[in-house]
Amino acid sequence: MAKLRMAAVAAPFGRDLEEDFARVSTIVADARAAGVRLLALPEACLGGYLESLTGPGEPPPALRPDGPEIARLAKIAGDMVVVAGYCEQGDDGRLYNSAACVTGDGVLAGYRKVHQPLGEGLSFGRGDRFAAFDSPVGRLGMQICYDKAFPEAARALALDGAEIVVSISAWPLSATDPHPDPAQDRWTRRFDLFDRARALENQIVWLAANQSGTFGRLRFVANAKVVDAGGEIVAATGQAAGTAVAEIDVAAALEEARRSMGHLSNRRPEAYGAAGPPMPVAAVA
Amino acid sequence: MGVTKIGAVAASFGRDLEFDLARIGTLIEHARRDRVGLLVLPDAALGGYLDDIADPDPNALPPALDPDGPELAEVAALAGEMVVCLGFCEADGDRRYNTAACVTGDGVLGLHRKVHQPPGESRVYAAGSGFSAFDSPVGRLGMLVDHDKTFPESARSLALDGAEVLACLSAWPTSVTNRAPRMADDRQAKLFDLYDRSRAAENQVVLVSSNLTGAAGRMRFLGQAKVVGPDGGILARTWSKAGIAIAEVDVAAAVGSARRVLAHLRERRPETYRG
Repeated sequence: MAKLRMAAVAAPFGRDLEEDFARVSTIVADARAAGVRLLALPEACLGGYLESLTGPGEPPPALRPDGPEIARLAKIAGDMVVVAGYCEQGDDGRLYNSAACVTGDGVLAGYRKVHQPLGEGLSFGRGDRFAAFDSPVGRLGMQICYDKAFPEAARALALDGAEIVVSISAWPLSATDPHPDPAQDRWTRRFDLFDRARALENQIVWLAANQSGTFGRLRFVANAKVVDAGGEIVAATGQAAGTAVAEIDVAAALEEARRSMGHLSNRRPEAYGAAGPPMPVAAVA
Repeated sequence: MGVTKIGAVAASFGRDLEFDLARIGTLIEHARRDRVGLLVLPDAALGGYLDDIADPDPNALPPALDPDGPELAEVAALAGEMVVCLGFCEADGDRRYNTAACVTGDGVLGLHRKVHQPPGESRVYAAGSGFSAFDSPVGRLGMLVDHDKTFPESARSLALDGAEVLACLSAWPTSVTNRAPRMADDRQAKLFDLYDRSRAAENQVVLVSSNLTGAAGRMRFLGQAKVVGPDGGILARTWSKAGIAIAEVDVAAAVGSARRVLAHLRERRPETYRG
């Protein structure tokens, strides 16, 4: 495989879908001009996030994965692979905090957020799986925000063959005890720590998009980044809006990282007790 | 239980058990002077590490010790009221394990045989088969040896078994292929730090990371011992030189406070982790 130019975005988004689409269009056009073929937009970039994490609030506009808005996103993506977050209207009548991976051909995969912090479950239903999928730029996995605090989530995707995990967030600064310098805030540091650790321990490429600016009572940490398969940050936006761009030969990078010590193949699942994989349904029965 | 002083040791040890026991005695004495309640010594503190991690000489292994033998009994006597973790080469019949022991004056509280082995090590050591937490006078502990911390499942398994403090004992060398002029800039030093901080933060536990310093064969050890809080922040650390990183932590309060709003262990969704 040749080198792949990829990018992760930090930008603010709100309830006005037309404004959001205008911003997405500009970002995608700029990325295309820069030769980017895989682009990660933030969680909730179509319709904005929740105004607080402590209770039910006015939810973002609910969109169907097969509806006109996601089709519009696919049209904007064109020949690029684009991951974006939105509020999904499920067939079961529930709302989900979801990610869609699209190209001009349509939706390649969807993902519903599994790990919900604080009161997020009051607004959204919960996803029930992590699954990798094939795309024109390689095998990908998606996760959303708080998922990255759980090593199991990235591990499940890597074991399912994901070479690049796209982690999209609306990750806020600490609400109770914010540091005067956002770069030093403890939630910022944890955001960065988990991005690097997940790439390193799975020897995968990691794209982290995030909201920037403020929404309701939340202030976001931005710092979208690209992390290589050794856990090194190769591009980052810092605490401002922007696009972090990097070029990586993904197959070669994973091969090199895994050559002498392959973390996925050297796992010892039988030693992990309660932290091991769930028993297959058949084995339980 | 209140506040505990926790010490993470960076020091060098070799094949001479008399020398190693004397050095352990000195370190325990220094720690006692500082009122340390939990002291974590490096992997291979009794007998040193392998001479070559990729191609170890089976005839030049560290002395193989019985956990019930006189050497650990001597460390236990030195420890007295202090909880002390240390690594050694364990003999079990013909098998050899890279093992961590936790002792006090009352004897051995816990043992952990290294589970995850780099390729060369499996030629001379058998692998451990699991992870178990155990109770100690400073709270419920779990131990990891070296490469175990590369795998998030290791620390997770101990945290799910109730460990609030993880003792991670290492003999972790610098990058062989690409050694940096400053030890802290070495690629392996950065990975070592990243694992220490992430395992603490994702499990919301206190993590005590020890390591060898000095050299063995072609290997140079990193030091970089540290105590990490349950939010992933480094509370105390050494750099490349020998020393004891000491932090004062109310373990139960720190862990409780970290988990008050977001409790990662409780919020796991194992049914979704099938991959």
